[in-house]
Amino acid sequence: MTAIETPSTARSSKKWARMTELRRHTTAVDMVGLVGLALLVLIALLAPMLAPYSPILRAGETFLPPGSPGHLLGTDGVGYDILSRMLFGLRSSIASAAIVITSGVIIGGIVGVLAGSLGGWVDNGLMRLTDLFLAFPGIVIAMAVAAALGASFSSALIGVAVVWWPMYARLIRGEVRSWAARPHLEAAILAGVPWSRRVRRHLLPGVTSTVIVTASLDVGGLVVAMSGLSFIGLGSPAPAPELGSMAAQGMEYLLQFWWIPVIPGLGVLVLALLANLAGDAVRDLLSRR
Amino acid sequence: MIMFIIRRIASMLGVLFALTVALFGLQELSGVDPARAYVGANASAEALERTRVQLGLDQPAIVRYFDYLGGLLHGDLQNSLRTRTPVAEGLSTAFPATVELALWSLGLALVLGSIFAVLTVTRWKGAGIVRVVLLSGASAPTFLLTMLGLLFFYGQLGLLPSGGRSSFGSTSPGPTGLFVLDGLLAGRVDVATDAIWHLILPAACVAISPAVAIGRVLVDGLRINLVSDHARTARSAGMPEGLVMLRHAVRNSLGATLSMIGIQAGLLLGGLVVVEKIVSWPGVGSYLDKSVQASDFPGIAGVALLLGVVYVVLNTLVDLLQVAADRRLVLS
Repeated sequence: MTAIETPSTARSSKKWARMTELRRHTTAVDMVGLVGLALLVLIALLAPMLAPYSPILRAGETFLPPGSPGHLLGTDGVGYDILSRMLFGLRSSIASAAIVITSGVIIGGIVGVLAGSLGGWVDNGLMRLTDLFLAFPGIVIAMAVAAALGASFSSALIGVAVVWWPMYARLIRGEVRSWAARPHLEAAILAGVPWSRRVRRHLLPGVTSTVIVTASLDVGGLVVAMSGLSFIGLGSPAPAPELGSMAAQGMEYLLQFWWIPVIPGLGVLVLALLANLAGDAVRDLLSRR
Repeated sequence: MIMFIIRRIASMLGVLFALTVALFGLQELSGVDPARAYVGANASAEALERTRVQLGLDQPAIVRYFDYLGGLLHGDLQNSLRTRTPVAEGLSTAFPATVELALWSLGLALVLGSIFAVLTVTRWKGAGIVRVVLLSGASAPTFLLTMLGLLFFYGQLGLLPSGGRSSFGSTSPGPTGLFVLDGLLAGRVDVATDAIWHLILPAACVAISPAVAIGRVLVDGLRINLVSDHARTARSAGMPEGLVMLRHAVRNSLGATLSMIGIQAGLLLGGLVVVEKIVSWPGVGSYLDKSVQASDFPGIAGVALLLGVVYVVLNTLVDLLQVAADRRLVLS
């Protein structure tokens, strides 16, 4: 019994030591970012349960100010409940950021790993392509792609995803190249370790932490960029609750009923700010190792 | 050096060529029929078909692409589905407004970024507050900044105008189409100051996030260079701190800062579009907004092409300037 228990307790106490060490290095600001973002993600996940009204059905009188009974954040020009729309808007913002970053990491990862590990003409061709994409003004191309596919949630996602992967491809290719040049990988080649195993066991693990850091620093900017697309009408069409389009539709009431366009904008600000803080925290934690 | 310039310009042309291919491909994908733009929505099927043949739209894609490219080279950006007039016409009236706003935004971004950098590096006491304000400003979507600016400076204080470009009509009193410059050239100081009042809010809102990015790069450069060996040598030879800063720190930090400015110029375009929509600035962004509302793809493609060309050319210039500043870069 003891023989089985010892290694596991040893491992867990080691883990525990690392946890406390991490906790000691986490500043208050880091905690605000990490906890705040986690809370927002939780709220977004539970949005259908938390929202007091449907986001796309009239819930009461129009133009009720924030703090009105039954409508914590007020109602807009149609009579939609702003809090309910905010919850769903937050959900779509977080979901789209997650989807774009995941797709960026996957596409950029495939391109970067192929280019970095195979080298030669594959590397040359793939990196030419990547540089070509990087030479375009990203946001403008995203707009053109989203517009060509017709304004919808998925068009906007595809539009942004098209311009978001090249950065990851560049980064991952560079990391893979620097790992591939190390002695233990030369040894692996000499020992006859096949390409797929070298990538899986030696190259990918080396790339992971850099990619996680970059991805987490990316979320804030991505949320802001996508809200801009939605603001100019390149997101889900009209009644769908998106933070950018809510602000755009509320613009006409700015001077009389400021909360209608301003609250969604504040939502984007809070989400982006927390994401940026959390990104900084992740970078500090991972780069300390 | 000459070889470098030639190679850089060749690659720029390659990128521009790829941009036209991409936009043509997207237009094919969007299912827009350019013949519609000529005959209108109510035209008969025959008239539509006739126009299609006339415009060469019955040809295979590759032939149509070269027609499109040929048109572009002659300044033909197709017809807008919304206005049924050439996109190039609409854009050429809108472009000066955007150029003026963009120049002011970029200028403000440089000024704010440099102030931010200098305050941070010299450890001025209030720098912490400036930092927090600028960083949260950079996390805010441009549309929020503009709305808050309008609420405060127009709604509350009545200081700034609610939008538009000028109180003196939409035509500029001079040849460049830039109100401030033309106003000064024509001796109309009232027009120029009025234009500046209209510019301040939108330009500042667009400028904040590039300012932070530029400032950060500058800070990093200055920090590294101020503690570098050559700066220490200059100091020990008796060079005053101000000169060390200017000659050794600022100058050596310019390269990285320049390339950041190039990157930020691209992001700034996105901010411009949003701000123009809010303050009804009669520029390319408003044109894009109207085109999006009307699902007018030729209009959207025209804007994307125009902004894309500006961005690509600008970045080529930045690269060349960098090499001019530091010849060692030719080697890499």
